[in-house]
Amino acid sequence: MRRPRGQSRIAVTSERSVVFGRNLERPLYLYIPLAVLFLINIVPLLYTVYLSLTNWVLFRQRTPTFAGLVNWAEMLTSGRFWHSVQVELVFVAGSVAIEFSLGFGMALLLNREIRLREFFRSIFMFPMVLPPIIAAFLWRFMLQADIGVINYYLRFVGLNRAFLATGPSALATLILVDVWQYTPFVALLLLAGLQHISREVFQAAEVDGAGPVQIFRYVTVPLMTPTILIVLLLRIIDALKVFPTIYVLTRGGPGIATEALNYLAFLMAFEQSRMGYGAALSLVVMILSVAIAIVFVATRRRMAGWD
Amino acid sequence: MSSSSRRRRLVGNSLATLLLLALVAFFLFPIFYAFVTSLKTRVLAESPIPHLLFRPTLENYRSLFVDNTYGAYFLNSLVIGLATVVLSLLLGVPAAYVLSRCRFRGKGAVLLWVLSSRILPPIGIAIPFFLAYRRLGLIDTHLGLVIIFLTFNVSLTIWVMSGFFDQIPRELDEAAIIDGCSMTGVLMRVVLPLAAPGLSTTAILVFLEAWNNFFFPLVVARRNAATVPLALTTFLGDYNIDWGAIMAGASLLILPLLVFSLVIRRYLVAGLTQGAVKG
Repeated sequence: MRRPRGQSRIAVTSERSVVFGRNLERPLYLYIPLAVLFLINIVPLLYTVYLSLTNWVLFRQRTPTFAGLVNWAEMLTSGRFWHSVQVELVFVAGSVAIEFSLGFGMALLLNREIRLREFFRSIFMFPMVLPPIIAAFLWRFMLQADIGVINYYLRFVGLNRAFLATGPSALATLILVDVWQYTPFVALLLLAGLQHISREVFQAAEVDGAGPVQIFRYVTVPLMTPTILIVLLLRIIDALKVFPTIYVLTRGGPGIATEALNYLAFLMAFEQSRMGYGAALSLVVMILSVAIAIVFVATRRRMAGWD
Repeated sequence: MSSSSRRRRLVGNSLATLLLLALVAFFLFPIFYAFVTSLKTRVLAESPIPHLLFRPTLENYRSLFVDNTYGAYFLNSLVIGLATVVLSLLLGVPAAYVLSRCRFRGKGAVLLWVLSSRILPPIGIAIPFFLAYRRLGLIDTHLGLVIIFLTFNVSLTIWVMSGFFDQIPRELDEAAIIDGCSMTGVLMRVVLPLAAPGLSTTAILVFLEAWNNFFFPLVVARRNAATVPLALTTFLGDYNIDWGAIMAGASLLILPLLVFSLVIRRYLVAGLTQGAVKG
């Protein structure tokens, strides 16, 4: 029998380590996966950083040539780049705001003691497990100007239109598809948070004479803040990656009206074969994501400090 | 509780149910309509009047497999998805176990690193993979897609599984160690059998990620290793779109997902957040 050397078998701290005997497995268990992750996550990332400092048009040059900050300068002075940042931000803000308000409403409805609750919860999972590319196809089919089912019904009230024909309406359509796919996700996550609040808290507030609005404002929201932060963070980070919907519904058009940053990076790298410039653009997407994550984590920390 | 407030609650609940039913219609209709369209002839599918009563036909499904090579893409999706699951679990489960059970220097940094790979946008690593694959001859290969899918699925596995491991009492591990089990023995004979629901949930989540992904196949696959999401856009969806066929293809792709989502209903939301809710 193996005995741990010189350590008491049962430590006192709650985060104590399980003490295994001498074993060769532990390093293998941990370091092989980490080495793989290093190879497929970190190395490519560093290479992207390097590429962003080079000039490399595939099929024209065989190897990258170091160019310093040329790509970054071109990017920061390009109107198309700033436009794509704006599109990206409008898309993210628009979809996440709608998903959050609608999702919170749904979560509150689902948190009531109603019949069919389990049925609703199961049904609402369907959109979010779909491939985004399929969601895009479904909506493209339904939104067609001439033979789409949505226009068929809107025609009765004279509201039919070519949804993807103008910039603002095309962008609104992209938001609609995102809202359709991910509002239930937000709702189910918030519902999980709501269910962690004990009923007694609400009952106590009710006894104290608080109305539904006051309960929501002064009981529900404060207790839900940690969940709310996580939901917003996850949705914002995922929304920044918007791609399949643009690819299927608008291809960035009309013109460049729906050309979000992520899509522009793809175009530059893989359709115009400009590896260096594409790398610089994709790093901006990443910087945005990381910055947002940091803001949220810091907020979370500060709030934890208040408690 | 007074009877009036009780009545108000009942009215509120009925109202809530009605609202939720309306939302179900909104969230379900596109899926339902896709399935209906997949059973229509081309003329009907492209008619400006959305018929709901018609004589259903399996013609679109037949044409997917006979006129198009949908079967091959479906098989690609399946093989690549399963291979991704096996490799992700092989790499991720042991690491998750160590992270759940052992304390060591730098553990916090490791956890943060693993979590942060969720934040990385795919585009950030797509370019190097594309360039490397051109050199290595991995463009349009199954292996190439599996490797690129590991970029986010190994960390997903580590996060979700370490959450499940945390819920299993350490005393069981310790008892097994006293009985002479090695670490592998503890993991295989004691912990994994108890974590079986977690393991299947993780497997399904990883499979979903690979099955649903469109961006990476678009970048590193062409025709030979194309998965269904890519095939739908390139070979079926370019010009002169055959909507009936697309909807049939989409329905076949969706069906296993709907079943899976019901199977892992309880864990799905927690899993999709990669354990972020824990903290």
